[in-house]
Formats: sequence, structure tokens, C-alpha cells
Amino acid sequence: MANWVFKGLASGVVTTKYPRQREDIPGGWPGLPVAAGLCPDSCRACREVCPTGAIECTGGAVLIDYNRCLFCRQCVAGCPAGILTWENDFRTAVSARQGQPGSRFSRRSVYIRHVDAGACECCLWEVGALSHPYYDLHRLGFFFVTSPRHADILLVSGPVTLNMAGALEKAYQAMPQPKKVVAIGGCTCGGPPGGPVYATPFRLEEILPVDVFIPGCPPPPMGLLHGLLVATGRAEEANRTQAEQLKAARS
Amino acid sequence: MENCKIIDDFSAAWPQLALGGEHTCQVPAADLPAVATWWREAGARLADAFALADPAAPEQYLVRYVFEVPGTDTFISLQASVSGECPAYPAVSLDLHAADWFEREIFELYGILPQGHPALGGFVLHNQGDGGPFPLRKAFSRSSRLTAVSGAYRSHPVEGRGVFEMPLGPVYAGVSESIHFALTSIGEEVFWVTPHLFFKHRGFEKAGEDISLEGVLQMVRRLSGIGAVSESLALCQAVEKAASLEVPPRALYMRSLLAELERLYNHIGNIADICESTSLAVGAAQGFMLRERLLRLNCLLSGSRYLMNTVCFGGVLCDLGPDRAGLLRETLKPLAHDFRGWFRMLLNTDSFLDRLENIGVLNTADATNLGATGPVGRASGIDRDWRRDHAYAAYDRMEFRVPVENDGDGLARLKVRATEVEESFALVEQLVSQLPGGPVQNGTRPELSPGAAAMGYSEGPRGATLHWVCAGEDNRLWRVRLRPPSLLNWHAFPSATEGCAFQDFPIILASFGLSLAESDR
Amino acid sequence: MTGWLFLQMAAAFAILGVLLMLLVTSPRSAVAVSMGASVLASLSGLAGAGVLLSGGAGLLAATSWPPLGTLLLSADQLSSLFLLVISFVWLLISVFSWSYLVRYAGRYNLRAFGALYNILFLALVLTALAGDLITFLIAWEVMTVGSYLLIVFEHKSPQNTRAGFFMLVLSEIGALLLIAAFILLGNYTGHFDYAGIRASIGSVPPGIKNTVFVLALLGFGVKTGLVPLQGWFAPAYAAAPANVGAVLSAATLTLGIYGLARVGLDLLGPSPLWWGLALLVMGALTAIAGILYALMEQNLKRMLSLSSVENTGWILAGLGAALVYRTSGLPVMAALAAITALYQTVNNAVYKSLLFMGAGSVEYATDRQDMDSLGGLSRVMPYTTLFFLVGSLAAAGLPPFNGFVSEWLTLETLLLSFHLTPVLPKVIMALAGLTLALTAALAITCFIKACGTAFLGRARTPEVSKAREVPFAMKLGMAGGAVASLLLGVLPTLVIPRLDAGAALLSGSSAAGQMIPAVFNEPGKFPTLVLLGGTFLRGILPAPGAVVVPTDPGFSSISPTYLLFALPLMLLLGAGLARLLGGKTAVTRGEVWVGGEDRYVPAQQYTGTAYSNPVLVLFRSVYRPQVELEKHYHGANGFRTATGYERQIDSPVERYLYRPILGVVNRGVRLLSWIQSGRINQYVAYVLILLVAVMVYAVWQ
Repeated sequence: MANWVFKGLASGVVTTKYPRQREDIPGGWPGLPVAAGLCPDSCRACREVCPTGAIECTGGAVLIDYNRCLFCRQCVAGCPAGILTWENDFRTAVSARQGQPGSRFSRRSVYIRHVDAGACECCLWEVGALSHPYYDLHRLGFFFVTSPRHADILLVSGPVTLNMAGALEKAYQAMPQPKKVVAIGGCTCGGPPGGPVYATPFRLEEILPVDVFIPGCPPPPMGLLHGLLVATGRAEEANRTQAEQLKAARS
Repeated sequence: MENCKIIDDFSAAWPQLALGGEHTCQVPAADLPAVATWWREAGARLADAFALADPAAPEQYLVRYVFEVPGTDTFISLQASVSGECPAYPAVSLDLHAADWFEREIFELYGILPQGHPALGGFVLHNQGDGGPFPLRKAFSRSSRLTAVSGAYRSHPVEGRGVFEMPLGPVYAGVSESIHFALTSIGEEVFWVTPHLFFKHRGFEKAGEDISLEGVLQMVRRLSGIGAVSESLALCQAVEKAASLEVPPRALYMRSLLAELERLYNHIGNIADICESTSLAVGAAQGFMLRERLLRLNCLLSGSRYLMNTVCFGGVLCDLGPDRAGLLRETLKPLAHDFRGWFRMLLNTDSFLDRLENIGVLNTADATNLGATGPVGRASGIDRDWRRDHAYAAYDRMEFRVPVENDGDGLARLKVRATEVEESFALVEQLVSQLPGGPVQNGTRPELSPGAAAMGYSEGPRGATLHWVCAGEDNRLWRVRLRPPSLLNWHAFPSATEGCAFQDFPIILASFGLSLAESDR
Repeated sequence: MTGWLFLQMAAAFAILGVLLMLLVTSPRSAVAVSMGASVLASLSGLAGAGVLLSGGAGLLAATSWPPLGTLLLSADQLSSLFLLVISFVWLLISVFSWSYLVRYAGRYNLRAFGALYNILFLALVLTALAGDLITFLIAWEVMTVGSYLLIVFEHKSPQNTRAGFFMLVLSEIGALLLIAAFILLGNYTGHFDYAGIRASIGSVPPGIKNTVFVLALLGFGVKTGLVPLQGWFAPAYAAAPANVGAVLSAATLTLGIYGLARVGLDLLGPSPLWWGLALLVMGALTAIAGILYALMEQNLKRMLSLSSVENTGWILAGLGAALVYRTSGLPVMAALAAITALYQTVNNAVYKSLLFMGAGSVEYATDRQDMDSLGGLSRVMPYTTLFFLVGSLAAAGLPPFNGFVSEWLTLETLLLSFHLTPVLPKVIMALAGLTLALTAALAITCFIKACGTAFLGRARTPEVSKAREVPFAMKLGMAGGAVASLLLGVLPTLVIPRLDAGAALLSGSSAAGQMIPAVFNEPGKFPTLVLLGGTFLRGILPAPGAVVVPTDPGFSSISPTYLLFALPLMLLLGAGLARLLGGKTAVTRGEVWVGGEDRYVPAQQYTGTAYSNPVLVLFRSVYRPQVELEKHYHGANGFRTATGYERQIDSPVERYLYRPILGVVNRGVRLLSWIQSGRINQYVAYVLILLVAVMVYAVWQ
């Protein structure tokens, strides 16, 4: 008979100390592209090479719409001036309801219902990884629940497919107040790869009020943790909106 | 194709049919069932069946049935032409049940009626009637939308006093994909499970038409993100064959290496899922830790934890320099050791094995009839692995074993996956040590002439994937057909769950390890 | 007024009810008159029994009828108790029937029903009041035939008449056994009256006493549902109208117990040990068999009938324990056991009649009894749901209702077997206790299934959703039963002294004093109980205390009376805390969550069959179900279109006892059937042969 207790104890504690401490975990997250300054006006190389058109060049500032970014690194590889660099950070979450007073939303003990509205399984595996030893979201007071009646947060992944739109809405209706919606993944935040067709006619924001967007393809578990903490007001965002990027570039 | 006996037998039996280019045989629609039955009896297995609009005449349609020819490295396609206001042809699935779900798709997406099929409607498009519109037809433009009507709900009727239907999904369990199961049960004992797929239908086959090849590649990588390498391999091989694009040898080895890395993290993740479904919490945690280590390795090697941006047209995007090769070896050696220790402990945990032995048995006959593939098929005695049988990338130069079990229960599937993990470790070592020099990319973009068609395939962690492309104008695709492995195994799933108990159901589900993202496309 | 006067009034009302049936014309007036007469009769019976119980016992009347000798009517504490119970349930059932019987108007003859109903009441009263074996037998037979005729009231269905006939056959076999027992007893003691038998029981040889005991056990066992004689229960109760079902399970079953107690424990005097052990074993087996098969029933009435079989098991176990303790020289413990058995009998009568009235209400509202087609009744029939729930809680033995007290006392009585010295009775008592504990658990499962499937959720068939709440009279009858269940459950210290005298007759000693420690009067003697709050209701409750103990305060004790105060208090406390700490909450009403699915049909609810299937799987070797699974395919390979499932459960009693016996009887009858060939010549030949034989005999003499 195998002695699992001993094996578990012998493995030690591998859980990350985030958010108390920020550790560098090689391979824990892919990183994200950032513009390290202003670039010459005429160059549009990054915009041309981006497969989803997530880059805007205005007045020398390179603005990246992370919601549509696929994190494929083509823009960084194709930038002749070296303005676009790859940053080793996982914080991509953006809060949609800026400056709105939240109702009495639970900060410490939060129940999450995850709904898969058509995602390829990467987002699902990353969300699943949150329950595993390296990340362990339980220590932060987050739990996954089976019934939306018990849930505070609706975590949506995937472009909302025609066949799942009804179920998604029903799940949202079944949640008691107060509730929040967190959209994760490039498909949910920016639209399906390949563009909208008959099976993916709407965006999540058209059906439900989204509180936090966590872009990524897929968003790494650390990024998800950060996003959940942003949703519950326990962490700061990292200035990823295009307006904030413009402000940072100009200064 | 080499002249082999089976082709000669076919020519003798059907002298009026000729085998043309791309091993395609034009068959009159009325003869399709008979010819398909001939091939089945000759030992061929149905690999795919789909429809497309005829490039030469868009109002007409072509129906293609693709068979794997036994004993050879090739595929035979039977193609029939159907036309008219309500195109139809006699259903092949009445004789060859493996064609069942393909024909339902053909009906709902193209409006071509497989005559005699007893269960049409409500399969892919949940809230459409049977009168259309049919989204994959050319007349239905990319920007057209469907309007919802109340759809047919198809479930397997079980008549008996006290029998009820337990609905599960599409939103169920903790963190899982969206699918609806209708379990008809008498309470504890389940008589039949009817899975309702296509909740996650994203319409990829429509979206892939008329966009740039790069766009199609980005899309297909996300067909099933955990199978990004095998899916993009199948697509790239199809496009490269159609465009006659050469792939340098180093790229071939890198492709196999990436595919094996993908197989590793998938199989270990699946075994950990099985542990979790049987509530062996520490065992599952140990497995997930191994999986996370592999994902981090992927990220360091390729920039993506799931090897997303690796395979491209004409080669691969990432290279294995000496330090990366060193990192790979240093990570995998202790990981393989840990894996062996972990798996040995699993095989010594009686309470764990009890939940798998003789549970969810898929017998060989059913597996053959329903066309099971991958570890599921190999656990039920079907000795097929496309890395060996239809070698692609660098597999023809590799030595590896293909495990086959005959019991078809959860334990057999577990053992097959574990053996494949061991083989993958060995394969990675072979590939790294034999990596030839040279570029990792062809460097030129593929140029497709209109009408060029080709098939690409690969053996992913969940089984054999088949992609077929037909080029249109402007280097875009007229038709892209994506046939993932999980679709076949979902078809076989109800047979395995027949007569199980409620508590066995999630375990059988985990032991199959199927993906809905790729099945629903 | 003396008790006898009240009883005479009761008889008069009943006879009046019968006679007036000749005069009434419309069905509704038939119901009103007969049920009205019944109500008055039962009220009088109640009054009379009450007076007799509180001290007016003794010989009531005597007549002499030459062919049968002297017929006596007498009442002692035991018979008055049973008369009280029967009158009470009769009152409830008559009030209930006032509205219930209206559903038969125009279809069946309600005048006949009214007449038979009142005749049955008379028979019941006479059985209880019989002072000698002959009167008992006559009244018993009238009761049997009367209940048979009431069971087959809906005679247009052949299934019902078959069920009734089965009941009649088994009851008559039982009656024959009783006749044999009584003849033996009468001949060997030289008397047929109870007093005479008691006096001369010593002169009866032990072998004869044993035979009488066995015959009486089997004879009364038919009426009470002793396994293996319970085969007629389920079909007959399903066939009978619900109020007749209530009568059968509350009144005639109770009288079966009365008969067994009277003959086995009272008249037959000192008993050998094995009588008690046999009763214990058979009681335990009856209980477990009853509840196991009740769990597999989807028909409400059939389920309730088998639950009655289970209750019989509990009562017989109590009586068995009384016999064992009495024989072992522990009269106080024997009295405890006897009080327990009587308490269980009273409780069974009350909650069973309540449950059958509930089932009758469901039948009245929906015209069906099959749990798997009901559902959602709590929305449209809230009162019926409440009353059925009360009955279910009582039958499952949950506080604060009456079933809890008597089941607790039974288990305690069996646990106290360590007072005995020889090993065998201790082991048997322990095993019986084990079986009864398992039975209690299964009973809870059974009633959860019944309440949940029939009343909760949504209607499984569209007609059921159109049900409406039942009329006032039916609600009143059920309410009476519910209130009685509650009172019997929370005031045990008032009930036990009333059972004491009857139990004394059976055990030879009194135990009420030991069972109710006089904490109110002498608090100094019970410091622990006072510490636990035992003086709480002093001065308010007219009893020596409010705590019940199984004769030994240190062993264990309960106080359902305090529970009546504690439960609402805790409820209020909890609700108050939740309101205080939780603050205001917003209430939203929404759809049922079914996983996000578009459609939710009632067929997706658990059925009763499915709920009890795990028990079937666990006890598969006992049930041995026969299952047929048919798979239908379309075409040659693969398209599964449908599956058919059929399951049949035969009770082992039917398989190994009834069918073989019937087989033998059939074979024997077929062998002899040549006697009745239908040919005239053969019959003439019989006459001729007889004539010749008589002539030869005459010549011989």
C-alpha cells in the first residue's frame, strides 16, 4: 500500500508566496510586450506584423491593446528600432468599471464559478492550475464552486459561442447580488481567433457587464491570481489600458 | 502509390471506378454505401467524412469519405458529387456506423441529406430547425448570422417504470469544459449516456475560409490549445504538401521534439486528472506538480507555456541551441525519475486501481466499429499510431514502441498513457542527440494555386488528427476541414459508460481524457 | 354516567346509522348520516372507554344463548385502553370520510358502505369488550367479513376483488386457527370466559398451552401482518379506499395485537421462556422484512401497509421482551416492556390513520397513488403536505412526535437485557435490538422517499399539477391525527400512567412509578435530573415529572416535553442571530438552475424508484430482483434507438411459501376435481351409492 502521506510531506511546500512576495519563476508566465519609448512616426512594422491588429501607432506612441494580443512575440521580433521589448511581467488585468464604488463585495472569502463559453483548453488548464500546489488560490480565500447560486464571481473564458450564450446568461442570472464578472483570455477579451462568424456573433461585454479583463493567450496562473485580487480590490492594476500607455509614453 | 494487392482487388471489384490524383476515387452518390462497405470489409478504417462546395461549381457539393488503407502508408478518399435544390445521397452510416456523426454534421452545416439516417437535427446547431440556413454553404456569407428557433432535443429514450433522466451540464462540476450529458438511470445505475456536444462550436471551418494563411494558422493553434503542436502540424503539413513547400531536416526533428514535449505534459496531466477524479488528492497534486514543471520548461524553450507559437509554415519558429538543449536535458532527467516513482506508487494503491479496473470498458468490437483512436483506441486493442503507420516529421527515423492493451477499461487507458510517457522521454533524448544542423525554417511563404488540395495529419496526445485543405483564390483557402481525434472518441464514449454507476461516471470521463474544444471546433 | 351507559349509547348510534341507510336516498345524505352516526358513536365510545379506564372496569353485561352458552361483555384496563384508541381513530376517520366518500358518489353504493362501516364499528367494540372466547370469535368474524366487504367496495375492478379474496382466505385460515386454539383452551380449562380461564389455567398441560400459543400467534398474526402471513396486506390495502385502509391499519391491526396480548400474555398465564424469544425473533424479522419491502413500493397505500407490518414487528418485539422478563423473574422490567408495546400500539394507530388519511387526500385530489407520477403537491396542497409530513416524522421515529418515544423505549428495553442471567435471551435481545435499529434507519429512508417524491419538486405528470387542496372535513380529520401525534410525543409522562394498569395485567407488575421519576414531588432524590433542568414545568404539568426513564434513572433518560420548548427556542435563537449578524438581505426569485440548460422537464427529477435503488443494490441478495434489459437498434450496426427496462421483485414469502402451497393445493384439487364432473349420471350415481350404503348400514345394525 503506497504511503501518500509521507510522499506529500516529503515534497515540501512549493507554493508561491505571491502576493506577499514577488518571486521570479522562470517559465511561470510568458511575459508581455511593452513599448519602451516613442518611435519614429513612419515605421509601422509592428502594426503590420501583428496577426490580430492589436497595435496602434499614434504620434510616435505605440499603444498595445492587450485584449487582442496573442503574445506571439512577432511584434518584438519585427521591431527595427528596438522600441518594443518583452517584459517579464504577468500583470495584465484591467478593471473595466474604473472609479465605480463597489457594493459590499467580499474581500476575503470569494467563491468563483467558472464558465467555459468556448475556450480552447489552455485557459481551462491555467484556471485549473490555480488549485494545484504551485499556486493554491485557497490560501487567498478563493474557492471554486459548482453552483452559481453560491458564487460571487463569474469567471468566463472563451469567445461566447451561440450555443453557450444562453447558459452563460442563465449562470449570471442565477448568481445572487453582489456579483462580478471577470473575463479571461484573448478570446473573451478581444474576440475569437479568426474573427467573428455565425457561431461567435457576440462579445461578452454585449451580454454581461464585465468588471475585470485578464488578457493573455492563455493568461498564466499568476496573471489570473493578480486579476482576481484586482477584482476583489486587494491588488493594484498595472496601467495596461491604452490611455495609461499613452500617458506613460508621453511622460 | 505502390501497387499493392488491395488496390488491385479494388480495381477488380469496381472496374468502373478509377483511382485518380491524391488517391481520390470519384464514386456516383448512389454507390457510396456499397463502395464504403467494400473498403470496410477489406480492413480499411474510416478516418473522416465531410462535404465541401465544388470549387468548379459552387452550387454543387462534393462529399468525401476518407479511409485509412491497411498495410500501407496511404489514405483513400471516395468523393461523390451531389446537387440540386435539396441535395441528398444514401447514408453510409447505416452500414458503417463510424460515419454517424460526420453525416449529422454534413446535414446541419451543408444541408446535404444522408438518406436513411435516423437521428438528424439538433447536433451542431442547437437552436436551428431542419430547414437551414446552412452556415458552411457559400451563399451564407461570413457576416451572416443565425436566428434562434427552438431546437430539437435528442436523447436516448429508456422506457421503464421509475427511469429518469439526470441532466448534467453544460455548466457543471468545478472547472470543466461545457458539455451536456443526459444520463438515463434507475438511480445509481446508468443505462445510457447521451452526450450533447457543440456547445463550444466556434465555427472554425467557416472562419478559416477567406482569411490569410497566417490567420488560419493562428486559429488552428487554438483549436485545442493543449494540442497546439499536433493541430498546427497537421495544418502545416497539409498546406506544405499543397504548396510543395520543403521543410528543412532540422525543422522536422524540432517538430517531432515539440510534439513529444506536448505529449508529455498532456499525458501526465491526464493521469493527474484521473487521480483527481478518484479523489486521490495527494497523487493528483504530485501529478500536477510534474505537469507544471513541464509547462514552465515549454515556456523557457518556446516563449509559450503551451508551445503555441512554435510550428509554422515551412518549419518551426523556435530553435534548440546548446544551452536550451542543456536546460531540456537537466529538467527532464529528474522529472522522468519523479514520474516513475509517482506512477509506481499509483500502481501500488489498491483503492485507486479498484476505481479503474473493469470500469468503463470499451470492448475491441465497439472501438473498431465506432472508430476510436489514440490511447483510448490502443487500450481497447486497436494497434494504430500514425507516427508509425503514416510517419511524418522525423518519426520515420526514430525507434519507439506503441503500447497496446486489450482490456479497454480505465486501467488499460492509464497504462497506455504511462507507457507512452516513457517512450516520449526516450524519443526526446533520441531527437536531441540526433538533431541535424541547418535552418529551422524554409523562409518562404507558401504559395497555393487555386484548387490545390492536400491532407495533413499527425498523432496528437489524444489520437490521430486529420486536416484537409483546398485552396481558393489569392492564397486563401476555399475549404479547411479539421477532424480532431476527440470527436471519434466521444462517439465511443456512451458504449463505455453503459451500465456504470453514478460515481464511476466522472472517473470514466477522466480516463478517456477527451477535449471538447477540438471536437466542437 | 357510567361507562357502560356511554357504550350502550355508542352501540345505539351505530345501529341507528345502519338502519337509517334503508331510508336515505341520495349518496351525499347517505354519507352525511352514516358518518354523522359514526362520529357520535365514536364520541360516546371515547367517553365510555375513558370512564372505564379511570376505574370503572368490571363485568358489563351477560346474556345466555343456549347453543353457545353464556355470552359476556366485560371491560378491564386492557380492553378499555384498546377501546379508547379504536374510538379515537374511528372519530378521526369518520370525520375524514365525511368528505372523502363523496368521490364515490354515483359510482358505488354509498348506502351499503355506510351500513357496513357502522357494523364494523360495532364488531370492533364487541371484540374489545368480549368477556369470553365465544363472543370474541363471533365479533372477530363479523369484523373480518365486514372489513372484507369494505375492502372490495370498489368491486368493479377484478384486481380489487382478487385482493379482497386473498385477504378473506388468509383471514379465514387465521380464524380457523383461532377456533382450534379456543376449543383447546376451553376444553382443557372447562371455561370459555376469561375469568374462568385465568382461574383454571394451571390445570392445562404445557404441551397444550404451547399449541394454543402457537395457534393464537398465527391466528392473530394474520390480522397484524406477522411475517409470513402478511401477503394479503399490500394488495388489500391498495384495493381498499383510503379510509378503509386507515381502519385496517389502525383498528383491526390494533385488535389483532389486543387478541395476542389477551390470549398470549394474559389468559395463558405463566409462560416458558421460548414464547418470548419466539416473539422477539419473529417481531424483529417482521419489522425488517416489512420495511425492506415498503422501500421498494411506489404506491403510497402499499408502502404504508408494509410500514404497518414493520410497526407490528416493533410491537411484537416489545411483547416478546415482556414475556422474557416476566419468565425470568423481573416483573418491573416486564411491565416496562409491556408499557412500551402498548405505547407503540397506540402510536401506530394514531400515525398510521393519519398517514392513510394523507394518502386518501392525495387520492382524492389526483386520483392516483403512484409516487413516480406525483410531485409538487406541497405547492397546491400545503395542509395535506404538512399533515403527511407529521405522520411521516412520527412513523420514522423522529422527535418531537410519538413514534420517537415508543421506539426509544423499545430499544432501551432491549438494551437492558444485561439484567438477565442466561446467555441465550441476552443474545437474542441484542440481535433483535440491532435489527430494529436498522429498521428505524430504513424507515426514515422510506418516508423521506414518500414525502420527497410525492410532495416536493414538481409534478411529474400534467394532471397532477391541477390538484387542489382537500375539503375541510378531511383536513380536520388529519389535523386531529397530527395534534394527537404531537401530544402523545411531548406528554409521555401523562400517557404512561394510563398504560400502566393494562400493562400490569400482562406483566404482573406496575412500572409507571419507576418510569417517571417524581422529580416534581421529590427533587432531592434525583439530583442529576434536577441539574439538567428536571423541575422546569413543576406545578404546570399534572404529572410527577416530565422525564421518562427505562426504570433506571442512571441508565438513560429523555424528556420530549422539554424538547417542545427547547426546539422552538433554538429556532428563534438561530433566526434571531442570523437576522442580527447577517443584516438585511435582498431576495431574488429566479429559475431553477439546471446547469444552464434550456429545457427542464419534470422527467429529469429523481423518481421514488431511483431514490430507493441504492437500498436495492445493497440488499440485492435479499430482494433478488429479476431484471430485463432490452436494447433496440436501428439498422445493422450501432444506432441504439431505445432501451427497455423491467424489474420485478418477489418477496421470498411469496416465492417459497405461498406459491408452493398454492401449487400443492391446486394439484390436490385437480386430482379430486373428477368428483365434480358436471355429469348428471355421476351425481345420480353418488345418490345411489349413498342410498345403498345407508341401507347396508341399517341392515347391519
